[in-house]
Amino acid sequence: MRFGWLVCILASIPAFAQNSSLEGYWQPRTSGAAYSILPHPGGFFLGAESKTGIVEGGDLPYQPWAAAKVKELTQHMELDPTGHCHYEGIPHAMYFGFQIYVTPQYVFMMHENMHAWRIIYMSGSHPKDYSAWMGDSRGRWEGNTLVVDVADLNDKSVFDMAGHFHSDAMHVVERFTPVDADTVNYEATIDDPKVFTRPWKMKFPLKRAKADYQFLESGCFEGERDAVHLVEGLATIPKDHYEH
Amino acid sequence: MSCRIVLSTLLFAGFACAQYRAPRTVDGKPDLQGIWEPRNAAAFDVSEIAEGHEIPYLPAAIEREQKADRVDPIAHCAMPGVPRISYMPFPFQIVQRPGVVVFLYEYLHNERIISTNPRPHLDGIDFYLGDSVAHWEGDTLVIDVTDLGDKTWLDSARHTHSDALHVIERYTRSGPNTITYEATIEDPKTYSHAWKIKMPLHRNNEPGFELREQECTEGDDGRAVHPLYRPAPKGDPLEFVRSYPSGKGGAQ
Repeated sequence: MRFGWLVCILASIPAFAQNSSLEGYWQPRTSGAAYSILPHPGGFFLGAESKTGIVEGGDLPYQPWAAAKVKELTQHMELDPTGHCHYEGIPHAMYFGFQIYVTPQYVFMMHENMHAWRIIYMSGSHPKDYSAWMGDSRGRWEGNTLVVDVADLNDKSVFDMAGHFHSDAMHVVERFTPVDADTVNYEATIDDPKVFTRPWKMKFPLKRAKADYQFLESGCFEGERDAVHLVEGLATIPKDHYEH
Repeated sequence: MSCRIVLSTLLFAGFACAQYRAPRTVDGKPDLQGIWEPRNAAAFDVSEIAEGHEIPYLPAAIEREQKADRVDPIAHCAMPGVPRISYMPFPFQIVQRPGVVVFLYEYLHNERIISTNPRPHLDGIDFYLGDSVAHWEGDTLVIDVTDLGDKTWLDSARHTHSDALHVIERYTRSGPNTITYEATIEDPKTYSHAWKIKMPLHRNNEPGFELREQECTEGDDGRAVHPLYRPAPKGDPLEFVRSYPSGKGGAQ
């Protein structure tokens, strides 16, 4: 056992090398998911066009009542909580640039947008009687994939600006898989038995930002006329836009 | 014999007076990481932690203040600014990386990602939490903060400042469970001279303690603020707020 310490150090190096490859500033490539996670046209207000969206299969398995509610919500974009400067929630916050720090006990994710941050605890379990926009995150490593179990999410956050919503029964499992030095595949499985008929998946790549990339402050407070801008923007959406 | 006593007394005194030496991070800097909290009421009246409990206001600044808006900006869910964020009565977590110190505040999920490599301050732009540039002076983390604008207050007792505010914060580990926090506050448009605040930050040692989400946005409900949405029904103007899908109007 004289060289036990050496074995320990050597054994820990590959693990560290793998896990730390998630560290850095990441820019998601979501082709306008913040506007709609389903396929949608592009435009000034709509953001980038997306022929595929980020949802696996290109469709969401809503229960009938929920499909009707989505239709109603598309007429009331002023209710979008992000327009009122709320947190986006998970997975919505993941469509925007963020930074990752990895430690044995925690993975820290710092987002520029809405000055949101999230601490992913690598131990413990979801607290009871807790409800939050960003939920409660517990992580574990599967090889070099970071798997994050997110629960305790509230029913106020939404998936995008196109009325796609969920309930407080939502449970999200995220998978961050490094594929090369500058790319991480992000995948989230969404399970919400109150709203959907089955779990569904979204996925998109994260690209490493340039070395000199840095955040500035994103302060968003009501009274900034966001709601008014949203309605002005509504006028720019083609009338048949929601008829997919 | 007496010489030996004197020598050992001196040695003992030397050890006793020696500064606390903080554990180090991988790059040899004092380790400030952990969950910390101020335990005072400075967020309500900063003079509690001000040197001499006095704030050297210029007469013109007092006049300006009396004419100003009387609502504390944080009542509208604005970020509290620096130094106020440091003494908001909520815990915060410090994370260190070589060349970077990160502050994650429970209060309104504020965050500061601060480089410890010197760079000039940004010019022509203001931030609620300012532009922070840090460096190490011995075992003290020194953060120079400018570009703070004039929208924040120092506390809810209407101690205000102008856009010339310049804050120098100093974080020094003073024991296993404490950091000494000091800040020099300078604003030639508001104060007759620079003044100082000082307080201990305490480590939260509660087993299993974790930061939680704290969220605040004003008037939460689009229907309440939206000018083009259907008009409020006659009688109870708040009826439509109460009928918001969740049945709970108002911010959380």
